[in-house]
Amino acid sequence: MNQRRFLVYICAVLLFVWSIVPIYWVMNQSLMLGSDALYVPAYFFPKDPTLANYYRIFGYSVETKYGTIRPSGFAPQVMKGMINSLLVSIPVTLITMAVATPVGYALGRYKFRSKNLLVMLLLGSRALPPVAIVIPYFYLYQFLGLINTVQGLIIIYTSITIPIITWVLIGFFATLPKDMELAARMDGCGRFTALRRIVIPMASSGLAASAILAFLLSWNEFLYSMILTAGSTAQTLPPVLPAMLFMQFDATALFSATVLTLIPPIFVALFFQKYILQLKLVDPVTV
Amino acid sequence: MVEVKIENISKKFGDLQALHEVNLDIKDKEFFVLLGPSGCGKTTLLNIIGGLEKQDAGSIYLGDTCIDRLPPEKRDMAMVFQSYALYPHMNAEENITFSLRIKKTPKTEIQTRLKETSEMLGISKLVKRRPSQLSGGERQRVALGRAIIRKPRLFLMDEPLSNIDAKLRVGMRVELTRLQKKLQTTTIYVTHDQTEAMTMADRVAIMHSGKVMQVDKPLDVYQKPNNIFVAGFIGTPPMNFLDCNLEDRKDGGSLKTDAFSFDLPSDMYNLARKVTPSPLIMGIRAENISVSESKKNKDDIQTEVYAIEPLGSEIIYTLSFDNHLVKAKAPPNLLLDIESKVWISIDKTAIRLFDKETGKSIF
Repeated sequence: MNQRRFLVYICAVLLFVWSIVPIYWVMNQSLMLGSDALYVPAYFFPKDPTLANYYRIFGYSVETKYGTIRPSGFAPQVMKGMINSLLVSIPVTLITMAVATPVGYALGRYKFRSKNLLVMLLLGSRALPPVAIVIPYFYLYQFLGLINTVQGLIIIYTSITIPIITWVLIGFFATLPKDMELAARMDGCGRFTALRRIVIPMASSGLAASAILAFLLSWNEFLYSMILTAGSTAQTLPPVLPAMLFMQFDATALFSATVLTLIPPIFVALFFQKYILQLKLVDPVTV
Repeated sequence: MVEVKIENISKKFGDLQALHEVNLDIKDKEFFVLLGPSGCGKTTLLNIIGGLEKQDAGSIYLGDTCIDRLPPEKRDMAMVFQSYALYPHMNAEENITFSLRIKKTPKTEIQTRLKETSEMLGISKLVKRRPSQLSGGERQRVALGRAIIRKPRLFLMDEPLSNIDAKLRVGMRVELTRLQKKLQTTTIYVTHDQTEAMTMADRVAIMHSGKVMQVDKPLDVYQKPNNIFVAGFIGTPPMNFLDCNLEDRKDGGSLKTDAFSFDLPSDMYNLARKVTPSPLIMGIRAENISVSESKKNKDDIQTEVYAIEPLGSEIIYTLSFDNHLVKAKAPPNLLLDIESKVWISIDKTAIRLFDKETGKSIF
């Protein structure tokens, strides 16, 4: 028993190191000035921690112990990218949830003809590698005038998120107890009212988790943004970061931009978290 | 007046015939119980009455109106589910008043009815709690409250007492019956528990593999079972069955099993004689077999004690003779050892006779 426990701890520590240490390292570096950050051996805790890099990313020059440092050359792109990313990800999340919730409910709860085919097609739409269709998209978007636009990205991103989130929700709705919905019908609700007043509130934890997932899928999307909006005013944040690496290497500015990229998803997760743990379903048998 | 007429209802799930041409007439203000083993179709029938499932054939009438085409929300029936199905995101009060709020009932009336209902059920202090903070019995009451507050035309109850502990269940049985008599609302109650059916019902319908076997008052079902299924299903311990044949004699007849035979009174013989000479099954309840340590009548049968179940108020003996086992009820002061030899005497007037082929009761 003790041995098993020991193994569990080892795994937990490995998992922690695997997922947290890289993030910690980026934060650690982002709080130091250039020459301290690149110093070998590296400082595990930031030496003379400062927010200077963050000011620089927002376009301010700062006074430091090494003298005045000018704003990062990427400041306009990072800020614009951040705004664009939000302008894309928030609508994508909302549209995805508005579409995937009823579709997932219908596919998860009701039996009807060619249901399996529909589910297969839904997933099949995601089976192509994105790289294979990005060039056709490029020509199509050029033709439609959607290239270099936020709207264009929203359309593509919803085509990615809706199938995936629907897929997740089908399983979720299928496992949700059915009696409450039937009770609502007996209590005088039509199908739609029962869905709105009973099923959706009961499903809030699954819906919240799905919304986080939809936001992340959209927030992190790199390829389409890179090909369809690169260099334009519609570019989202992800393609900006590697550009900083290749065009004008400024390690600490890159690190602080990376940390900034992490922040909105954290807020989104925190916002939805309260729905995830809030609801205890009642199981009458195990009372 | 709320009479429910169920006409030729059939329902199939894939290859399984869940209901087979079920006909029932449920009277106004009646507490009507659907009783049967699990899988007999009783819950399906209840769901069809409530509109939660659609029958393949047949019709349901409420009074004179056919309600086949009405969706559940328009049938004005309240259902209590086996799982209670309380809305987990609402507290008890919101659960109870949900149907009224859906109907946009004025707030003052909702409050009055909530007060009335929660007092009737003794849950006034619990109304602010969520279902997860309630005990099983309390949830049960909230689920009942949700049904009662609506003053529906019909109550449908699907094994509402099966998930609460045994002691509470006995109390709730009595309360539920009283409540129904007070509200005077026609009630259809599904259960697999024959004690519930016997104690609560005005009339019982016994179901078996999608068919109604018998509809009668509880005591009639017990005393005059229509067929061998009902005879074996109702009663604890179940009725004893023995294969037998009718033997004719000049002045009447006798009933012969492979272990014993005895003369039948002439009226019983005449009834039995009406059936073509086919194998019969004799049924006798445990309380109609008396056990004694000595032979008292010429027809008494010698047996051996096989198992003993002392229940306090009585002892149930399982007795064996000639590869047969029968159960007999004995007073608690008759203490016998296992494998001891005893005599049993069968009360002939209490014998039920069934046609072995059709299972139908002869008398």
